[in-house]
Amino acid sequence: MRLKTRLLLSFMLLALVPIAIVVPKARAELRNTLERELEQRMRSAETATRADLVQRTRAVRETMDRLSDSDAMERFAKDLHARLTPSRVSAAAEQLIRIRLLSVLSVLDEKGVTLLSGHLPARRGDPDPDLFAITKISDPEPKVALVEVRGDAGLKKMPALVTARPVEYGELKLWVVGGVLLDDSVAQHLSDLTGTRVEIASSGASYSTAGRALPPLIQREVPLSPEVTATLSLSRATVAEAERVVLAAVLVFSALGVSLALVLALWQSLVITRPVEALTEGARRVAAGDLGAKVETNAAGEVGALVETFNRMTSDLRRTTDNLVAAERVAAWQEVARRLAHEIKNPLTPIRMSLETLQAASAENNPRFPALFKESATVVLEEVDRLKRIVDEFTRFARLPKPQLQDLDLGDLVKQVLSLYAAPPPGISLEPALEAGLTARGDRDQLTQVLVNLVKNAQEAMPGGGKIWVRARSRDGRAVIEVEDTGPGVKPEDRTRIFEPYFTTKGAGTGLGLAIAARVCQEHGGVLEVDGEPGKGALFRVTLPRQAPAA
Amino acid sequence: MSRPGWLLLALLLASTATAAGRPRYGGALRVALATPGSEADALNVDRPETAALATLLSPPLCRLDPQRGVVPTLAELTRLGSNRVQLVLRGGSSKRASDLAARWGALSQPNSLSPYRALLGPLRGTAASGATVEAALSYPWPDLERTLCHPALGLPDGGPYAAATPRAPLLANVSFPEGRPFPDRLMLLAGDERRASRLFSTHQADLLLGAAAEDATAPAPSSAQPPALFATYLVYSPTHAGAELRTVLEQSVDPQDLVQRFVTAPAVPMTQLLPPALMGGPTAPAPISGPTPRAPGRELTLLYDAALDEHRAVAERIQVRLHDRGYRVALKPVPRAELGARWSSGNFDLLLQSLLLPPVPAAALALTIELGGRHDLLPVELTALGVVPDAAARDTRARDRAVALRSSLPLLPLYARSPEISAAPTVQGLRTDAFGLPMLDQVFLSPTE
Repeated sequence: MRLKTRLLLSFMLLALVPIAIVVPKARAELRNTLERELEQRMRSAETATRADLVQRTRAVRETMDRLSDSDAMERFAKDLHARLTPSRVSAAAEQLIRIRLLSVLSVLDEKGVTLLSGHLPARRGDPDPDLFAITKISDPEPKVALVEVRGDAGLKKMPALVTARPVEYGELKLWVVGGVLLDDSVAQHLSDLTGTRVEIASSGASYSTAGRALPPLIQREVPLSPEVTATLSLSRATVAEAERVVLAAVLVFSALGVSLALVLALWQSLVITRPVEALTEGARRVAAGDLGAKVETNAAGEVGALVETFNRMTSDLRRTTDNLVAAERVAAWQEVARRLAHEIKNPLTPIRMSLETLQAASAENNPRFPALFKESATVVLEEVDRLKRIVDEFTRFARLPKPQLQDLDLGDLVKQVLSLYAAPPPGISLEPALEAGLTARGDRDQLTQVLVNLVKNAQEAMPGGGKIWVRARSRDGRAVIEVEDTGPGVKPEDRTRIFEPYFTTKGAGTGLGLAIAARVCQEHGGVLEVDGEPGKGALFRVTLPRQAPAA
Repeated sequence: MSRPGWLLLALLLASTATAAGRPRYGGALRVALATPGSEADALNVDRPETAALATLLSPPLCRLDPQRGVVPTLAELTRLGSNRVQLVLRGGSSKRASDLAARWGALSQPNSLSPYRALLGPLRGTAASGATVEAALSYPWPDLERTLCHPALGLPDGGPYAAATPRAPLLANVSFPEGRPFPDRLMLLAGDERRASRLFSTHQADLLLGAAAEDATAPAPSSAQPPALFATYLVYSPTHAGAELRTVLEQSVDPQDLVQRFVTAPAVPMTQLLPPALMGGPTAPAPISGPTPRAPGRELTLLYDAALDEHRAVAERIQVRLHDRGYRVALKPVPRAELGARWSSGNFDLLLQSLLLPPVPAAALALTIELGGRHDLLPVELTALGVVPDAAARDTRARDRAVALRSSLPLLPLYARSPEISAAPTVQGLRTDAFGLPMLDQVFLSPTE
């Protein structure tokens, strides 16, 4: 993974981890706070509901006390006592009801038969056991009971806060039962008062409802009687909504923070990685041979010091390398000069000795002078030839022409070279292994010289006979020609010097063959390598590019 | 509740005044009417008081006097044969005759919204010619003369009074064939019961219709009351409400209970199809047979006249009684016109309908048969009654048929009302006709002392 990617991920992780830790905790804290507030609201609503019911109870009690003692009630009882016509009784009864703020009012006789009903006039003449049961309660406080009223689709029962008072007129004994219905208006009042949804119900039957509360709900039941309850409902939706809004805000700000962190991370990673990448490129150039590579970047701090150090190092390396190359070049020429001098010096000694022999024979008038002259002249000529050959080869090495590149079929080239060895020395066998269609760009003559030199060396390395494998194949997009023998191989300590001029392990040789072959390969953009296991054979490998080397 | 004592007193005073002197013309008769509006069309009146007022503008063809029988007022009826009659309008024009023929023709149509079409059941067709209307009968109908005095069959206009504008006082029609009424003007003071009673008790009105006077005392003996012929029925649809409902209604709805506790106007319970005034006296309740069916949760709708508090109270009582039998009854007040339309189309479960029955048992029976939706029975029953030549025997036969048909018609008779009327001492000549309606065109005002 690249440094830039790692840096980006690290920055993102640094930005996200606190969010991942803080957001759930903040959300839970927010939820708890809102829940506590909701609970507090519900407690207040419950208290307000109970207080309202207490107030209604007191109002009903006082109203019924006043009604039972009122002149209107006395007139009504008087009318009943006088057994007036129903219309007169009804008129008095209507007056009785109209002046009271009661939504339930019935006058029952001592047997529980309805003489008058304000909330259900059509019940006149019928017993009303529900209301008559109220008269049996000794407690004067109003109680919640189910009362029959008229609805849109017939009669229905509604809870009402009612109480009963006895009324006597002479021998006439009556019960007046009155109160207030706990209907939709009461539910609406409680809903407005408490801010909750209010449902008055009993045994699963809902009598009145007011207000709205969307689920999920928090509910509290306020018992109005053993059977009737007022259920207060508050919606948790507001909590969920608040939580959602806050969470959304946190997430939005987190997203903004992460985005900002991403931008900063990108910028910082660029600041950090750009000099590193420049250093990497510089190192790559140095590795490729550009020893004077410089890193141009505006880095500061440690990275800036690193860049400066790198640039100083490459400068030093370039200088040191130049010095080293110069020294090596001097040393190489000294070695060449030494070996050339040595090579030239070797023939000079026989030439001098021959000339001194002739000089001495001439001075002594040695009769064998003609014979000696002839013999010495032969030696001198041979050594002169040898000197000439040394000079020619050196000249050829020094003046190796630039290769004339063309598309070559290496298989054909190898076959052509091997044809020169169609009749190898006894005990030597040649084993070609050629890949068809293997081509490369090269100079036919120079490569032929290289292959002839390698095959010839292999033959000379096996005076007692052996096998020579010549292979041509492609590998890693390059063309490879290998010449392997079963001779003694090349000692490890000789492998680094074997391509130097005038280095030879043979008794008779100029030591320039492999040096020239290596240089030819180098001129083609390739390389000549030596391999093989000492004592078991040597393997020389020519590796050439399939395309022409860059100019 | 009305206090017919005033009526009795008024009748006594009227007779005294009549004996004492001649009626006086002039003055304005102030009538306090306990109803938001008065209905001029006798076909749509919803209570006897408004029926009486309607006859002032839309007069019946004749007057049915309790003592004198049929008194021709606007038309003379002549029988041209057993099945043909001729009606000659007094002082009438050809237009009035054609109007009458058109009115009868519209009323007798099968799609008529009024059950009063049963009164024209025997008619096969009418033809107007000049001031004469000739009618052909499908079968002999000896009670036609008495039946034609019903206000629903009267002329559409040309009564003893006329209204210049809807809210203006009614002005005396000086060209009324029977003679102009005594007061020059009749001022209708409409309001609720409380306001009407207050107007009367504070002497701002001479007559009080539809409400009891505030200082009314004990009721007058029933014998002194005018006949209660404005009958109210509970009609049910066997198709929509179920045939078993009849037993439930019979067992749960008590006419006596309704009259005693929920109908404030003077009324008598009906135990038979016809009110006691037509049955010859109080009748015993019909025997109730069969088990008490219960229909838990069965839902019904009871339609009633939205303008009538009386019907509302009765409907609520029926609702309560049926609730005790497991029925859920929704009450739906509707305008009277819609009530008629729903009745005519049969699109109802239950409805309350009130009718002014003629004081002729056979014709009243025809009305109840029509109200019960048994139009097919009309020719059968009326033909059988028409062949009885003697009027008394025919009435007796009609009463018997009413008893016999009671359980076969999908309606329950509830009660019959008479008008609730109180008159100031200055009002003279107040009498009621055989329909029990006060003849307001006959009254005159005596000078105040």
